[in-house]
Amino acid sequence: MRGLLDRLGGGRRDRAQAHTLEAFAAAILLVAGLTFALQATAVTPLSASTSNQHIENQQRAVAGDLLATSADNGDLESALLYWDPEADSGDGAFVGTGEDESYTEGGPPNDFGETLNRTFLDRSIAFNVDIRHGDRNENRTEVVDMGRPSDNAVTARRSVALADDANLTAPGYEDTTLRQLEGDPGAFYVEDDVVAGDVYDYVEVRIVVWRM
Amino acid sequence: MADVNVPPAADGDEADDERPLRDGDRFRDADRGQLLLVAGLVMAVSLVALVVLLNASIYSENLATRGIEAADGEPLEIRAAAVDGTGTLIDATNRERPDSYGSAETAVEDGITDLDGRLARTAAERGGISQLNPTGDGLREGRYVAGSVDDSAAVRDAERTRAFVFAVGEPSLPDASASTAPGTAVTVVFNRTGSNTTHEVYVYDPDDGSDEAAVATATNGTDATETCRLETVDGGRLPVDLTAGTIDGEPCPGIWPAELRGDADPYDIEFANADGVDAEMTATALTTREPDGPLADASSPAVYDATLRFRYRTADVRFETTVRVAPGEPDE
Repeated sequence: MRGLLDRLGGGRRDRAQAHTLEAFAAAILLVAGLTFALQATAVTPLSASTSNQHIENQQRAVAGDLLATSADNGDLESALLYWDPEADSGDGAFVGTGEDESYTEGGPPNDFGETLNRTFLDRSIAFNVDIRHGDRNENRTEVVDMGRPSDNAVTARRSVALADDANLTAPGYEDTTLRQLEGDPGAFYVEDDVVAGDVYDYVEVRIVVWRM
Repeated sequence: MADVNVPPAADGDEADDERPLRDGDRFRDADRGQLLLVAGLVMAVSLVALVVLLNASIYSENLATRGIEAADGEPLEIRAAAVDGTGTLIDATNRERPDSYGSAETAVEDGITDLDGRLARTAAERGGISQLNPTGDGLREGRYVAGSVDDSAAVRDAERTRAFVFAVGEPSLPDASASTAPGTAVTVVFNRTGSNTTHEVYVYDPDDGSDEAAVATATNGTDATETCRLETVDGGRLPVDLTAGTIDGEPCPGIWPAELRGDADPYDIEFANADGVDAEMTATALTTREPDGPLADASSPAVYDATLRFRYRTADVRFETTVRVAPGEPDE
């Protein structure tokens, strides 16, 4: 009889082990189910992933190289000087911006803008172009404003030096130098900083690029 | 596979309790089956969990290591700003035609100090430190030459030349071909007196067509070969950028003599068949001698180039380089 009880007790011990294991299995199943549910979100071109990161790196490189080549062949500087000092009731504006005060449907109508459009707009990539200027780059002038960048936007920047004797490139103002505009505050968007030497100011051009 | 069959009969001591014993065995057998089933399930789920964990760790490692690539470009970006800024500064200072080399040097040095401060602020925004200062060699004295030329004009003892643009009024270009160019075309002569060699660049209006301009090159004034030709000319000044290798903005490689790239013997820049032609030149040359002819009054002391040390440091990157800034110098 005692042997029987031992055996029955042994059977109960086995059952307890089985129950413990079952509890573990149930817990793991629950956690796995939760994990699966959390991971099972729709993958869109904008959701974070390694391939998305890769595309951001590519876009950053393309935007940086675009700025480098445009700075090298002079297109960037010409675009910065494509300013009509008498537009917008005398406040001055980039040529052809109208009431928006910045280009909203693509790059500016010059070589730099064409390069931007060819590189980004034709591939459904939106971009904003800002110019930071002032003693601490604290002032901002928007050249192209195509809306609010997404969370996956990337930024490329390039510093450009504007000489005192640089001529505006806007039609009709090709003989106007920045030095001539110094005496007329507000005629040019970059205020005349006290810069040593014959440089008007160092400005920073920023391109923010994101997929539409 | 484990043996899950009924175990052999119990030992003889407990033969009396045979029936209850069999019930107990039945319990144990059922338990073992359940145990095996559950253990199998646990193992399967654990394996799946392991795979998910491994995948997650590979993914996060991938993301973590990719960030560094982007940071690599930062020092290069600021270096480009330093080089462009110094180049514009030197050229703007030279165009102002300072009275003496001393005042040009001071203006450029002050400008570099100012630029250094601005770059340091840009670097600080990104958590880095940058420093830009002239090295021991620092700045070198040259001449900025910009004015109209005739056959008596010459720039003497140039060791290097940068941003050399020769602009000719298109209507005053003489008609010629590559073979007749040496006697008739407007000519820029690089005279290397040390090695008794000359290199010529001819600009002319080809006599086999209209509304065109062509550039030919030769060595020692013989065997001139046409380098490139412009199909349409608007009738104004035609700028030939000898150092950049462009004619009216169109690429025209090979105008600049290969022998003059890099450190060359000092050479003279002279002109031929330029009398009575509307021709102008702009260049910065590494020489301290005053030019001859009409260029004497059209030149001023200038800074030819600047050698700078640039340093950039962040927590991850340490970058140090020496750059020589000479905008518009032909590649070596």
